[in-house]
Amino acid sequence: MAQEAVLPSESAAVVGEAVIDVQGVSKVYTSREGPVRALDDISLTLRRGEFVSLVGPSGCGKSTFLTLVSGLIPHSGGSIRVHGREVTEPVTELGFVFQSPTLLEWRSAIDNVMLQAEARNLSREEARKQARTLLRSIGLEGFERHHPSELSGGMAQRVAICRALLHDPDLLLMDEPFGALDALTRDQMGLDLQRLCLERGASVLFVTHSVPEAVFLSDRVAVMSPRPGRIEEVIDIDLPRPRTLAARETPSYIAYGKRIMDIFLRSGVLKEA
Amino acid sequence: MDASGSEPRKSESGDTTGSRRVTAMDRSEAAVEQGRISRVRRQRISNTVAPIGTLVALILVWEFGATLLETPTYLLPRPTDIWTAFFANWEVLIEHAQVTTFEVIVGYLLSVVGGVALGLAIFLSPALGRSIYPLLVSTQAIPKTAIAPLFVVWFGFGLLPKVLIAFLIAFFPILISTVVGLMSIDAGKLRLAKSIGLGRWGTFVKIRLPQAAPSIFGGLKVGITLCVVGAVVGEFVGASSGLGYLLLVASGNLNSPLLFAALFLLTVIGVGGFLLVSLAERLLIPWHKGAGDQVAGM
Repeated sequence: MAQEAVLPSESAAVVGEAVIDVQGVSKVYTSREGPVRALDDISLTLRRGEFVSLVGPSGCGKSTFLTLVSGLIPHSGGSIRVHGREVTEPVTELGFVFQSPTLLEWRSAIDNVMLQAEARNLSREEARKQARTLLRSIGLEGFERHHPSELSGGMAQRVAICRALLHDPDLLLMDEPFGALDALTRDQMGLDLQRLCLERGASVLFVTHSVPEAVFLSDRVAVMSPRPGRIEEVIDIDLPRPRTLAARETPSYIAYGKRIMDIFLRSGVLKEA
Repeated sequence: MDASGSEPRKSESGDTTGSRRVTAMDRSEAAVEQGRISRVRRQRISNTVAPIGTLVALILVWEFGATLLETPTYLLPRPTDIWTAFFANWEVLIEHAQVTTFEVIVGYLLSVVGGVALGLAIFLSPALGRSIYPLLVSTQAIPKTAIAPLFVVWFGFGLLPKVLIAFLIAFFPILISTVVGLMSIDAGKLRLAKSIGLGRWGTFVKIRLPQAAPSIFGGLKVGITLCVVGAVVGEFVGASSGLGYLLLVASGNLNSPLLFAALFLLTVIGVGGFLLVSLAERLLIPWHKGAGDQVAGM
């Protein structure tokens, strides 16, 4: 199943080398009731400048997959290569945006972004300038000195995104970054993210449980099914960029959403009475 | 002060439209906000007035109750008796208070350094923690009043035994709160540290230590009041000065007004120390809300 899923993406007319190359990866957890297979035979390639979403119900292991790619936890089988190197320890030459903003409460917005520079021993002065530019570009001008307790959920997640972008990584891993936000903020964040990615040419592996969000943002959508998590199908989203909110009402856009829903219905993730 | 700015901040999606909304904020909105601020201000005032009022009422009941029931002064002196005794023995009281304060300060500094340092050591080396932890708990199980006489035998009647008892009582909560603070870090922050390549030392200094600070300050606040207890216990067992010594002398002479005056000074030392530590907490970790608010209510 997963093998087939890789084929269409291989033939896709995307040029560029693989930033992430995952072949037949599985993850088995040991629990009190015995081993649990969280992911089974996942294969996926992310090429330079590509935006790929993993969409699936909660518990299908899509977040686990991101953590495996980043090397934060080891995988049980198969091979994961990031920038051509086999992943055996945490990969630091990427930007990771987590489900929750994970800001340090004792630091202001800009100092939270600066944590990235401190961890990498970047030049403080330049990094600070860069941090200010990033915060401004994402609509946080004037909030640089605010502490996390004074920021809304959307603002906090923007700060987290700036932190992930500070060292100018060409690969972004995003784990349901907009999951906790309201619909309006989500739309705005989606637009901002699209713009940032187009500007920087970054490759993004994006995890979400929202089908419209996945279609709106992605070049390809990998549809997952749960227990054990596997990729049912990879769908190319052939819509022109930059995409507008109005484009979501067009027939082709709606057709993509329907195709993904059909896969969920087929695999039993969704059941119609 | 910052209340007027908090409204646009809270608006979830209004990040880009927020600034426009502030300038367009019409008069009625401003009036509502102004009303909210003055309500908060009134609340703050009542937070101060309520406890002071209770205290004053209590003193009045005490004063007139004792007068009406004609309780003997040696059993329960009236507040005015204590007041008179306080000023009659002003110089003696201050002299002894200085001795006790000094013992408390030295004992406290020792317990802060000892408690935090040992807490760090236990956190950094679990093996060390496992080996000395039972011993530490045992030292806490021994009643300090029971070993105080032993300290007198060992160290005499001077400063040292009082400081040691104050230290022994206060360092344990500081140690525990340090260890608990360092251990309780959310997994998300550790994951972040790993993913950005922040090393062990960097994670400790930039994440674990600031994260532990509120908990450590909790222990520091408990510790300061315990130090006063420790110093007085030390003075009870063998001393020729200090408020604890004065308490014993006053009670021997059935001079209850002086006894109460000494008690009052001990309370002042304890509360004063607590307020100083709370102030340090506010200055050092201003981002930690809640702790400071409680102090404001005092």
